[in-house]
Amino acid sequence: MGLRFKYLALCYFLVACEVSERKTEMAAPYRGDFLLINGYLKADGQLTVYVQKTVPHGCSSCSDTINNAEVFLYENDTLKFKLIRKDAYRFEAPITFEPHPDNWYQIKVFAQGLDSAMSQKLHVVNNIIVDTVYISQINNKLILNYRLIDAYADNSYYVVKAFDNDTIKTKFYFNEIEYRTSHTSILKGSIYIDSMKKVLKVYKLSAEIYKYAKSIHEYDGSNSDPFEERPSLIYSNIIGGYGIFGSYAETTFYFSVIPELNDQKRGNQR
Amino acid sequence: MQLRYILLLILCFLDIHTHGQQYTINGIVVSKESGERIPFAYCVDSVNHKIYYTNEEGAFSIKASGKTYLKFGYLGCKPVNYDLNLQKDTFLRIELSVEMMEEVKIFNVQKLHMQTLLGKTQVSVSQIKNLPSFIGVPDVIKSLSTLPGIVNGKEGFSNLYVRGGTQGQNLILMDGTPFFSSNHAVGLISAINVDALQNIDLYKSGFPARYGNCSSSILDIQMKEGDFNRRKYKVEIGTLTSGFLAEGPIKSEKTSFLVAGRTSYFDIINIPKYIKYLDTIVYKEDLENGGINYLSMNAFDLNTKITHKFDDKNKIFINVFTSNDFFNSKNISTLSKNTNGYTLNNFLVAIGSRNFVKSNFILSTNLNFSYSNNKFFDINEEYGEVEEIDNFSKRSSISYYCIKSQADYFVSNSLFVKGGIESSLIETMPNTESVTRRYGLTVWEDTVWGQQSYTAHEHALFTELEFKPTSTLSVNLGFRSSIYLTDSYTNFSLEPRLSIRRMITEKSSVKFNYTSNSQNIHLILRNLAGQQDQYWLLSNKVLKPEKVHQVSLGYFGIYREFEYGLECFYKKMAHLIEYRNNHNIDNDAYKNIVSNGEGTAYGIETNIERNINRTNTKLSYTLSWSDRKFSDLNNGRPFPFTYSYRHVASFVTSFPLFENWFLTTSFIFMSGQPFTLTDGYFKGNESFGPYDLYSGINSYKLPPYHRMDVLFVKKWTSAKGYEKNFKISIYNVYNRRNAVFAYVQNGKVVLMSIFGIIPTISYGIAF
Repeated sequence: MGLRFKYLALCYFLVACEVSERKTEMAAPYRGDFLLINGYLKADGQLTVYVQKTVPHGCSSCSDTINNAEVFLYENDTLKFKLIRKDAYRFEAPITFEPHPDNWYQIKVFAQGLDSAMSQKLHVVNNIIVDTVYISQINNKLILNYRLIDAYADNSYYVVKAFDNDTIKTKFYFNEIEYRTSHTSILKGSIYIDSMKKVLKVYKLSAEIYKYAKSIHEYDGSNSDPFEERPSLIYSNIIGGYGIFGSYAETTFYFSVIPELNDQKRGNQR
Repeated sequence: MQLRYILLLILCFLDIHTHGQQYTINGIVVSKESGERIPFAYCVDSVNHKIYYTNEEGAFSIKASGKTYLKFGYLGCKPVNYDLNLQKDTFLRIELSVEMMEEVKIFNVQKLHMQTLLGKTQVSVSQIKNLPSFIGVPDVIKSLSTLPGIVNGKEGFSNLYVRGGTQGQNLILMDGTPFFSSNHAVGLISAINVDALQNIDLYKSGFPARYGNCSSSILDIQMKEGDFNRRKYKVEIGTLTSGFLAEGPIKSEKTSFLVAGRTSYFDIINIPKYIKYLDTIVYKEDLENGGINYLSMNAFDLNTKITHKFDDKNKIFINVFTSNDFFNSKNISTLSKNTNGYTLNNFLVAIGSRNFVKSNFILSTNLNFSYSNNKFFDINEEYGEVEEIDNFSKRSSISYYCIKSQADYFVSNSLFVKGGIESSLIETMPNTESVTRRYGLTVWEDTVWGQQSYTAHEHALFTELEFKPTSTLSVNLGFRSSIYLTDSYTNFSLEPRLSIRRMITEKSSVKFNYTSNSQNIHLILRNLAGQQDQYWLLSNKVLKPEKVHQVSLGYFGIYREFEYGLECFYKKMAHLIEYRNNHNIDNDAYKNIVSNGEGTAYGIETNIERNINRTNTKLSYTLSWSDRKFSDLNNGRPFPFTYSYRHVASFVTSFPLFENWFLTTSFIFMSGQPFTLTDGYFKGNESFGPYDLYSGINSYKLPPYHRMDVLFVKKWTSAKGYEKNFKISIYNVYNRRNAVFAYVQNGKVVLMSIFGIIPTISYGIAF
């Protein structure tokens, strides 16, 4: 009898263990509609701002467009102009706009029914010069070598890409960003290429864009594991909303390549 | 300005007192049964109306004159009286014999209001044994969560988060050897075998200067010595684990041994599958239809200690500890096999000597070695026309060598001096990855990255003065200075420590404490698919030593059968680190972290304990806040610490139920754990996105956590004189499904819980 009781008790304890995943679902929180701004100020004065609004998680039918948004650019805390709406999302500065490297720039966005949002202030990034480009070959691998001149090279971020033609829409990845703390204005570097190229594009990024790209890179790698204690948050410098306002410079350099390698070739900069 | 306040505070505590000519009584208090020294036994001087305690080595030193009446005792032991007429300095060996059953020894052995140090708790080993446990295995680390200011973090892990500090900021010592990975069996239990423990001291603040390289807490564990007089054996058989202990003399009264081991057999969960697949047809069908999954988990640990006493005043010991964990998840199908999991190994050695150079002068020397290694692996095998095997592994390890010499000098009743020197060598290999790929017989990739090891030396000098300027005032003043050296970085740190206790009445005291700590070994802990990836980094030019400054103030006392305490603390932390979210983990481990974080923690802790008629009841409550700030996280804004629970309360009661049966119940409540949850969505545009939006790190809270555990224990002695016990432990008795993780999926928050009710039974026999 005693043995039987002990056996039954053991079976009960083994069976009764509740060690298993159990999931409970509840509605995801939604903070409400907020402005979402992606603004890029180029060194040549081109200013493009995308204005959208947040939507609840998992709501594919929710619209992120804002019909009544107004975007303003401030220069040294003074209203410079109102941006022109180009489509549902995109706003642009008048073509006459030329940013001054010593001035601070800030955008403010207003939309009825939503909290206003404004960016932090920033300086426009300066243009850089592509001085020299040549291709060399080591161990059957093609290497494109370049020399850049940047008057403000300290603590700067660059992306260098080579293309067959300049019509390709550029999209860069965080891994391509090079960080420089050099005190010299002459920057040398090289990138591997898989075939002969004709166009070199060099981007100089403001710290805001660098942080934004970096956080997206980290986000992409961290949101798959629910056990992760802390997902990566996307960097934002928009007060009262989300998004980014940054500056970059784009330099396109055309060059021709003759069949013989290891020759230094000059091209035309645009 | 701050110095002025500290001086003012010291003056407030101070009053004037004088001493006369006296003789010194030195000695040790030992267990009559086993010959082991008893730390923190009390001694009452009835003539001078004073109470003294033995130190960690069971030694004491008292100044007295002429006729002296002393009463020695320890909880659970018969008191011994001494009537002395002092004519010269005297040495006494006090033997105490056990009086009561173990169940009643469930409260702190030294009353909190009498201790000079604030934030120190002496945890009774028998109290831990008599608490309900997670899978029926008594657990030091998990049991500490019943103390105020301490939480275990995620359910199912044996981690320790003390007053807003991180797991890596705790220093766990086993006979003076640092223990780097206390988790055992994927964290279900801790690797510390309670049966092999003698004494446990926990410090949440008021760190004595002899401890370094920690900034949140110290868990100083003294391992038990084997019985010097007779052989004893103990076997404990449980539902999921079993253990044994053997101890006894190698040479009677001179040399003893102790061996204790535990092993788990969680693999029994696969038994139904093994039975099912005895049928080969079913086996083949399942192989073809998605494959068969096996989960395997084994944990094993072994403690061995040999102690040799040359005489009452001199002894040496060697303690060796090893633990091994193996966990793997296997999926087998007709054409493939995937095995992933991890292994964890610890190996610790402590060699020490204790010498009474003079009757009031103890010299202790320790040689310590600690090694911890954990490895993740993932092996994919494809059985096509040609066999393909991909083998990936990731490993991190730490080795620690230390020599420490310490002198304890009892100058007088009112002055006790400790001083010493410590020298250590630390080596880490934080992130070694290897990949082997084989196609048929051709190995086309065999690469190892991150074999870089980092080495550092640390040398420290420390001194502690415990003195009693007046009959009511007691001060513990300590300084620890250390120099930390690597090939390219040198850091000197000076860590002052101060604890002051002022007796208000005979039964109550107020205490103040200031502690400064520096830590050069950093731990990165990251949850990955339910397992913990951890690696250790050493300070260098970029990664500065973690610094913590803590002040605390407390009031402690006894009222009738109640012992109570109230303590508030404020902690400032600097140079904290966190892991960086990045799927392309860099082989340079230092690039996978964000550093130079700051943190604060503050709160109020209170506890009340009642002991009457073999019934012990303990209630503790903590109200606290803790946050972090990193320039690279949360857009530089402060955010709540992941293990910052605003309210934590625990209630533990233990009492005899009926003949030979005891019941212990514990209830724990914690307000919601902070966690990060998306609260918006960006659909994306032509440049970036889409991505989830967060209003901040840890800006939401999980539902409150609470559970109740019970433990029934029956103890009896058989006709042959064997001591037997039968335990029924029920974890989470009302099957509360506490959420452990949460994430958002398809517009819904999914709260995931893992552990419900877990009843276990165990049967033990000691002879």
